[in-house]
Amino acid sequence: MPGCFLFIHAIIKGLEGIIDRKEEGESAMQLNHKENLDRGERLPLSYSEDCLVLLPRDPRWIFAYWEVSPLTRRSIEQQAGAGWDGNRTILRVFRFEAGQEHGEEFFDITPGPLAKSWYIEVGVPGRGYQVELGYVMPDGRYELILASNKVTTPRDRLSDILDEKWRLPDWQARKLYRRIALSHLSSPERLRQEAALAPFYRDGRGDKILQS
Amino acid sequence: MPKGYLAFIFHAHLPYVRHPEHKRSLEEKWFFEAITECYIPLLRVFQQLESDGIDYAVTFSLSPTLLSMLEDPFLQGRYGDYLAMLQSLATREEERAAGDPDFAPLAQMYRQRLDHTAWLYNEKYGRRLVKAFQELQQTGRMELITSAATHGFLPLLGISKEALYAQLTAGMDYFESIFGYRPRGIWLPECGYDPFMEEILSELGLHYFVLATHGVLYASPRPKYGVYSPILTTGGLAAFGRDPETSTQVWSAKEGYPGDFNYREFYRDIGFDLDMESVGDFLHPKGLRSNTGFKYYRITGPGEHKEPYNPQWAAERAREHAENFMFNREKQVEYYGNLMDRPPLINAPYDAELFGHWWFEGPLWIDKLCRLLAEHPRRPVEMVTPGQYLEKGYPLQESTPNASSWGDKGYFEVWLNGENDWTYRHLHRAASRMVSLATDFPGAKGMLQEALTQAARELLLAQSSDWPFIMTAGTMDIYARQRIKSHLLRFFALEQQIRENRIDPGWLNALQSTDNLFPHLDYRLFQSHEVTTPVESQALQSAKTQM
Repeated sequence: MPGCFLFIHAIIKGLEGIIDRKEEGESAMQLNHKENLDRGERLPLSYSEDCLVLLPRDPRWIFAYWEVSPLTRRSIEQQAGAGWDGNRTILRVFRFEAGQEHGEEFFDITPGPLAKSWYIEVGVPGRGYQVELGYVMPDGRYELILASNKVTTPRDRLSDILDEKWRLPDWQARKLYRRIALSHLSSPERLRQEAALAPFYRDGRGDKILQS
Repeated sequence: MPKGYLAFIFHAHLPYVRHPEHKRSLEEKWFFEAITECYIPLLRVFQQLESDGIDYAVTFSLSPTLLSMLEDPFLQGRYGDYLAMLQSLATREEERAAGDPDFAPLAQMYRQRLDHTAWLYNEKYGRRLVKAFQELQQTGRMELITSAATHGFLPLLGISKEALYAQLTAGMDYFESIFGYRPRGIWLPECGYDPFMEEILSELGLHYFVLATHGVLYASPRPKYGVYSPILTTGGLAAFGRDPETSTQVWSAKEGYPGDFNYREFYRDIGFDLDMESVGDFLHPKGLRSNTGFKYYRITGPGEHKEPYNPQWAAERAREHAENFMFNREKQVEYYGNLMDRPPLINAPYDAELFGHWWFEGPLWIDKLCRLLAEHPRRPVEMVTPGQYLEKGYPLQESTPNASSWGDKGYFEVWLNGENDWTYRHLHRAASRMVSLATDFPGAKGMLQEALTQAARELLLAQSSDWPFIMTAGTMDIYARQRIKSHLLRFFALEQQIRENRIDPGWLNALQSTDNLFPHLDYRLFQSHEVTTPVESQALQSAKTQM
């Protein structure tokens, strides 16, 4: 159905061969390389480094992934006086209202021991968000492990701010002022500039202009 | 003064697909088909307009990976072979169709087109198609811009400023090494934008970029003229928002032009229709069927029944569609012009690969449209490039665009969902390791420098937006997964060898000849911005070129 196909096509744009389901063919990577240049077969499951990264997905959803290094785990275990319990980890979501320095606590998520990433429905477009990964100690105290970067969800509608300021792009403003500087200097500067040009006008009219 | 302006922008991009280890690969065929059916037909349109003295203006965004493939001698050779094979198929088709009143003229048309393509490619441009773009650029009527180095989806990579900077700068550097000047505009891959990118964008001496409609429409403060005037971002660049009417008019599922019953049917190709004896040697050695580009039918109607293609009827429709498009633009600029203190600008960006390959008559439609606009007695709508428009010197409204993309649903979900979200953990880690390497080894020479440069190449290749996109689309996803994994594994192994001071020269050499794009890449583009600001690294760049 051309119409239907067009629609899909318009959405996924361009890489024709990829969605060309009718096309058979041999993908280069489906074959075994005689000479495999990759060193190793799998990407590491972990990098043994602490990280908590937040990415915006759309106006209402953000995505977090994390890793807690063995070293950090041990330090938590020491504080807890017990072995690491993945069920005690918490993702604490903070929201920043426009212009605010500090986010307010929004809600908590218990991702469970196996999760390494989470899609979080924050629901409000155009706001800043930050996430903490924390641990609930046996005594109920919340211990911060990692804080994420801050992200802002996109807007999904027209901005309410209607202030209008208009100007030329800098590179163009520079061109404009350069021209003004060349041809519209104030009087003393203009005279100095003409005096500097005098040698070129010595024969004939140039002298007259300077004399007058 | 015209009542309005129209900016046509073609974004031409393919991921870096080069597989010398295989006799034939489907991925290289994407590239060959795009050259035969899109890039050359579009180039021919503008060359013909030039020689007919028609005034037009158009912008081409040529992605650095596409440019790399166009400039790669190995792929140039392979495309030459592919074209020769198509020509011999064309000769056989002419013989097969001889005497048939419907098909003989079509077979002849294909043979003539391919002969001309081969002459253009082999003789006129000596297999370097970038020369054709350069020629047109020098007329002043075609503006060339480029994109991020490997078309990385910047909003999701920009957690590392250095990665963002390197993607953009390496792309612009490579463009400059071919065309001899810095592009004024940048095509943000997939129109992917997030306001945090302004800090880096402002450092690059760029004048503009292009965004999806809601990237500009939902900017803040609210743009007074919507998408019909660019806005001035905090980084001092102009952001041009996509006009929604021109995109739906061409691509709408219901009334879009390419579905016209007189246009050529894409799905009736002799690669599938004929017996293996007739087309077998063109197809994959294992007898796998694929498109050849020889298609003899028109869309005809919604059903399975197809009538033979009639090029005259199709050309007539293309002219009518161009007239319709022009009429609608005239109405559009009249409408918006009444609400504005300046002529509205209609920004119409398209994927170049849709013209010619899928919409066979697309290039013809562009040709007709340019002629109609140029020959209109009142010329109410004038074609411009974004660069030409900015030269007109209209003050622009200061406003920060909205985070957005031109992908499905308009934000980042195509590149961030359950199919591909696992990649970011590795991509971000690799980027941060690359920043450490570039910062720890600021003045590497010899093999160390080569290893660092190759590590930068592998990282850039892993960052292509195409891999997560293909994973979302769900076909060929094995290839995409493998590509991203391979480049990351190569990167991490290189990193380890560099750190442990035991670089394997044979392996490094093999990587250099396989993942061989950006010959002059400077790994120091990844140096930490804590240590060196982007401006300083640009100075480093120029110091290096002066050396």
